[in-house]
Amino acid sequence: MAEENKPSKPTAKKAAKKAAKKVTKKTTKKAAPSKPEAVKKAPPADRETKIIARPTLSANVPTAPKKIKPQYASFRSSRKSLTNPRRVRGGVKLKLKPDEQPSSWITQRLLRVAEDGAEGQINREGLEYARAGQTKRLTIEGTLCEGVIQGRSDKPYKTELKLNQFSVHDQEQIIHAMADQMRYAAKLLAGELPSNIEDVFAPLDLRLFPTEPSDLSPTCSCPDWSDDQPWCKHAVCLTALLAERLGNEPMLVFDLHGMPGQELIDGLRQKRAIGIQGPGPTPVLVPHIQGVTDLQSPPLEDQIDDFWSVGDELAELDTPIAPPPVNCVLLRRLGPSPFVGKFPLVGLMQTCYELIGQSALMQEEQSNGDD
Amino acid sequence: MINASPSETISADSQSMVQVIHANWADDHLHFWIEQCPDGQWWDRDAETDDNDTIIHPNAIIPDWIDGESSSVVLRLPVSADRPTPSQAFAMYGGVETEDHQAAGLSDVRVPTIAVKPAHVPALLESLYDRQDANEDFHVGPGVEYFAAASRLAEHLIAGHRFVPMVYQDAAGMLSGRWQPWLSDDMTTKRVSKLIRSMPAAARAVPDGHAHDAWSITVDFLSQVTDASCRRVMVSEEMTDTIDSIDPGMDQQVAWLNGLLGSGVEVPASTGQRAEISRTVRKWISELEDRGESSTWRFGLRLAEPIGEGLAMDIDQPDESVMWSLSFFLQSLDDEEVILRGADVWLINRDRIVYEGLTLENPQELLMGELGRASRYYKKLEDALDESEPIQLLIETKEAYRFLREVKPVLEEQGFGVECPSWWDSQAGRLGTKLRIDSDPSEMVLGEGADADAAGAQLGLGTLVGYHWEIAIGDTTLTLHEFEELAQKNSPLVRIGGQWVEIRPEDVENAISFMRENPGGEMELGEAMQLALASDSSQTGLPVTGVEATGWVASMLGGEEGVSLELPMLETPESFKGTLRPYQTRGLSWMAFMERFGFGACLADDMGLGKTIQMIALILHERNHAKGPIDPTLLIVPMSVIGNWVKEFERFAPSIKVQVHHGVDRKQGDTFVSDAQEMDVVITTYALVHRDNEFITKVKWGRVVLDEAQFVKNPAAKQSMSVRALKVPRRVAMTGTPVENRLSELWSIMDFLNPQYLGPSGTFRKKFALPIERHRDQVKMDKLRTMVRPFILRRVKTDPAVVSDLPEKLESKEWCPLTSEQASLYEGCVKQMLTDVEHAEGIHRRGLVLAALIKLKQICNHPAQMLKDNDPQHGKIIDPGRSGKCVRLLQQLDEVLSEGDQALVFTQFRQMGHILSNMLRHELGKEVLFLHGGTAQGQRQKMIDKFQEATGKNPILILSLKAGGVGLNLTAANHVFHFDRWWNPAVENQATDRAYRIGQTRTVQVHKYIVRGTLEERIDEMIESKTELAENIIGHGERWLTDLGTDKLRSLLALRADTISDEM
Repeated sequence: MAEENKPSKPTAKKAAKKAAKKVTKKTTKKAAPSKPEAVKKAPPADRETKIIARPTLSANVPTAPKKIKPQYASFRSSRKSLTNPRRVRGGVKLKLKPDEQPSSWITQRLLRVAEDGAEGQINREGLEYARAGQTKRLTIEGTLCEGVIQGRSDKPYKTELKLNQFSVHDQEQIIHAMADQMRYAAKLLAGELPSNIEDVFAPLDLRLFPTEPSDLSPTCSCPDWSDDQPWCKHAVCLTALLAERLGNEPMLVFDLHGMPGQELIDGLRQKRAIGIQGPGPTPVLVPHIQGVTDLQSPPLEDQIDDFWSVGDELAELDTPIAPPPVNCVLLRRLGPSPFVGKFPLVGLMQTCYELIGQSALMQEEQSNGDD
Repeated sequence: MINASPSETISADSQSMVQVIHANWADDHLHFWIEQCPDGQWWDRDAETDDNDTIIHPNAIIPDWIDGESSSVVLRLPVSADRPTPSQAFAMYGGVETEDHQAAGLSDVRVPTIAVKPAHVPALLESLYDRQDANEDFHVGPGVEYFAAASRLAEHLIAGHRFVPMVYQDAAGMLSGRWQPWLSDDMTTKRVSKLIRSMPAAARAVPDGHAHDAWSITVDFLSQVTDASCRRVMVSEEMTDTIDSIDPGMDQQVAWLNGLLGSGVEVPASTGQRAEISRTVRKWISELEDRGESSTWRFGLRLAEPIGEGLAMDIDQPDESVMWSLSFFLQSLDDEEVILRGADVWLINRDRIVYEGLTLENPQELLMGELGRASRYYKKLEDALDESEPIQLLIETKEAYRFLREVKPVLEEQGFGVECPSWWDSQAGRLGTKLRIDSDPSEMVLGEGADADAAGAQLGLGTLVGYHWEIAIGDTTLTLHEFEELAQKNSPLVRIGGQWVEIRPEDVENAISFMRENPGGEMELGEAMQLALASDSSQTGLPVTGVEATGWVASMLGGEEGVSLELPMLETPESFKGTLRPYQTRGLSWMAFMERFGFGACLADDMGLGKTIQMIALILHERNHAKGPIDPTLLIVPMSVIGNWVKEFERFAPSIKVQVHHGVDRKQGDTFVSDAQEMDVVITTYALVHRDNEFITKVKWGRVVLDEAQFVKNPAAKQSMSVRALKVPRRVAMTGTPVENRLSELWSIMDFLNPQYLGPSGTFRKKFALPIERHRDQVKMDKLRTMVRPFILRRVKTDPAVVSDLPEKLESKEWCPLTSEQASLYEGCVKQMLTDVEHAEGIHRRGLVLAALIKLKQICNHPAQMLKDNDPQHGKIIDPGRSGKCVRLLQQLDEVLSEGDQALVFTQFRQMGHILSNMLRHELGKEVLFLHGGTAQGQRQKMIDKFQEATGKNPILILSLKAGGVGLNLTAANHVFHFDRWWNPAVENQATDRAYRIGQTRTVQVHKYIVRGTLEERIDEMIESKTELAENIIGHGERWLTDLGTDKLRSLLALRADTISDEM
């Protein structure tokens, strides 16, 4: 599955390099193994998350052509019905075949919204545009989904989709609600979108994925577009492409609402790390620790029978108080001070580490020492 | 745990003192509260509610002796009918009946607390364990256990320098400095996840922002405890002095340090600076998470030993000037065996290759980029970066050593692969000291003409043995001279016979002066063993890597299983009436060997393996081989097993003269002394050894044997001290509990067997008991095991060597005494009945006899069953010390549990079932299942499932069903106790067969309880005689008794003398 999504044909060297870099970078961020070995011996569950994460990542490659041949074939067969738009090379294409069911409920939802927005001929043409790759460029930047779509005229049209923006207040409410529901938080922290995520939004009177045509408020520079009838074929085309993109990369929807997915995840981590309550200070960095941060506690209700028992594993927890094999190993890993000031931060820190470590050792010695 | 001696018995009144202390983390404090139920009426008190309709815990008080703020917390706790249910620990120790009060759900419950600041938490948690050790009614609950482990983890991280300085930001953007534990590294992550996974629900019951999430609560706790601990040191070292003179506005580092070095956390900075500081710190600390460019391949370095010309090591070149190579490679993370050498990487002219089926993108870029990253942690690598196609770096020996010791761990933690020669980090490459002990061959010592007594008296741990220290590397031994020569090379890595070895510069001087000061000679064996088995490098300057012995010391130190192959094997003694199984012969040989060399020995075989007959065989063996008169053996046993010993001697060694020193009319003073001297064995009890100490010590004993040696577990108890004070050449201890896991017991027994070997008890406690019991210190545990292993022989039922010798079913009778209370009740009851029947006839008379019989059986079980003076169903704890059977049952069940086994306990009486279930729960600290005729069908199946799951949580099932519930499958049990008797073997076997049936894979041990001197013994005798009368009994239960004449009744029921215990 992962293999399939990698660029299969060598494009320009540069692009490939860039793409590869992007892929690897993203991967490290999302599925960063706490230790390389961990990846190798990871249980199947971990592998699953890895695989799920992949398509999301490769979708980041903007011009990656996939399964070119079958797509061309379908384009050719339906070409006659097109009213001669100018052909585009290397455009963004909808992969979904005409009679195929989308695999993601998100894709399905957006396609339905597009259908509600424009029925019949316009819808059909829009989807054909999408399959034919008439879209020269598709960008999702900030809260805007923008498409440059080539129609019949010389100049391509500029089409835009926009979701309503979550206010700061909304965002806080969302994070709070999700952090409260551990099953959401855990999935999101693992880079997945929980299937019933919309249940969180309904009580807040918010909508995550569009359900009505007006939710997407399309605009387009083509002559067919108007305030009264905002659903031209270009809007349909762009919506279809966005539908597929979101199906692969659901977290993007948060970006479109003005709430970057990464921020949401960071927010959740902070909340989980320090408790959701109160305005207390939070650490500027909360590392994600695979196998720990995403560990879900069972609901208290499920533990009534052994409410008061400590797990067996505690007996295996050895915590020797011993000097480190290498002094200040973390400080060595941190390297030189990142600040511009002249103060010898690292040197002072080394003293601190030694004093603090010494004190812990001495305490232990006192409690264990001979009479 | 078992309270059988008068001084330790818990009376029913003292239960109000039982306390369980709990801990919950809330509002930046650890809150402590105590569960206590002054009148034992847990369920009788209605819970009140506060203004918010929150239930107020009716049985919670504050630990007012803890220094902290008075506070309270709301907890979501299990409740039954609006009353919080007791914690498991409290239900057990406090004897609260929970069967009819199963929690139905959770409710908010308010408990009063003392809130303690993070800074004081670690010391306080530790002190709670001290309190628990000192007070047997005080118990730490699961929350305390959890947070103590977490707090200990924080200290572990602090000592290992595994924390980082951090910046916190609040909603208003204000910054504060904090010391944080760094949890993202491999070893730590494993520990943290173990910790979190074992968090009890009770410890996350506070309904706050943490949303009952184990990780969230734990990390908050760890962070705050770490910060408090680090800050305390900073403040006491007055670290702020270093920055006092610098304006924080001029240097952001100083601003940050302002929040780290003093007691205040605030980071003084302007708005603009704040953003920059938090960004910079975040970026800096996130370096620790940098694992490189690729998630599928990693960069690695391989350090290789110098290779001279012609691929052979250049022997002539000095060690310090040869060059080591540090070569680079790329390694797949999907398959670590797939490695691409740097040299090969530069030959690749494509951007993407598939190597061994694994894709690698831009290998050259990756190698270069990662080499650059690695050079951040190892500056030397910058030299390689200057080359256009770097493949390796050459370094000198000193640098290679620095790389191995200091750089390798850093690189590995940062996600690089590091390969080094296999001798590094292994015993083979490590310099150490070895102790050689020389002694004569055992044959010489034991040889034909050698006088056993004379030899035995001279040997022992006090024996002087020849010893000398050796410096060793793996199998190679060095003389001091050779070592000094190596040291002169002044190189941390040297070659010895072509093998590279690490010589830590700091070790050299210590080692040389130690060797000079300890040229060898003679020392006491005990001292030598302590040195060799338990010491660390602090004494010798080098790690002690082992002990090598010759002669009898080698035989004594033995092999892995305890019994050395070189042990001379004995035959079953001639006059022994029975056969010893092979492992029993080995046990006998081992004890004889240990005695000959003057060592105290502990026979710790599992219950049912026949420790008693091995001991009897030893005494017989000694008598058979004696050349002259032999001093008697003093056998000290708990009261409850005297009868067993007497019966076993009668059966297996009728020639042995046994005297029981016990009872009110026992011999005193000189009479005792002169009589005892004529005996082979004198059996007495722990209590009497203390009470009659004055004349018991006047006998010249040849041997002291402690049965159920765990009775001396409390080193300070008077009985234990009297026992340890006996000056006797041969000492043997017998116990069925795994002594190695019960440290105070272990010390007491070892100090009896081999005085001073483990040092004074206080030192032992600090050096071994506390680290092992509280902090699960594996290293200390291993050391202690090694030290005591030569003196303990423990075979378990599952040992392959034992299993093949065992039958599928072992039946034994347990002869129990009556307590004086039981005896007087019994006699009274018999007397009353005999008077009553004088004037009664027919059905009335039968009725009277039957009623009396039932009463007598109840008295034999427990006085409370007949008197009904304490109601076990209302939380009253029944004192086991009032019944001989109960005391014995507790002892045996304790062993059953310590072996991880499960047991069925059958009784005819439902009332007795209640008494037992209450008593066992309280005394053994385990949930006890009780299945009786009134148990509902659904409940019954639930119990059976719980028992069969064999999780260790419900190891005991009491049954009072008629015929033991025919059809039940209870194969999870391998012990069956018949607490009272049906007098019908068929019925009893049917019950036994619940466990002894298809599906049973282990030996089933059946224990039949009989009270000596009572009708129980009389009836047992009749059944064993297999007479016509026996048929009668078996056929008709007790009815035949009712037809007996008064005289016959009297002779059958009257209590026999000398069977009463006056000291339960």
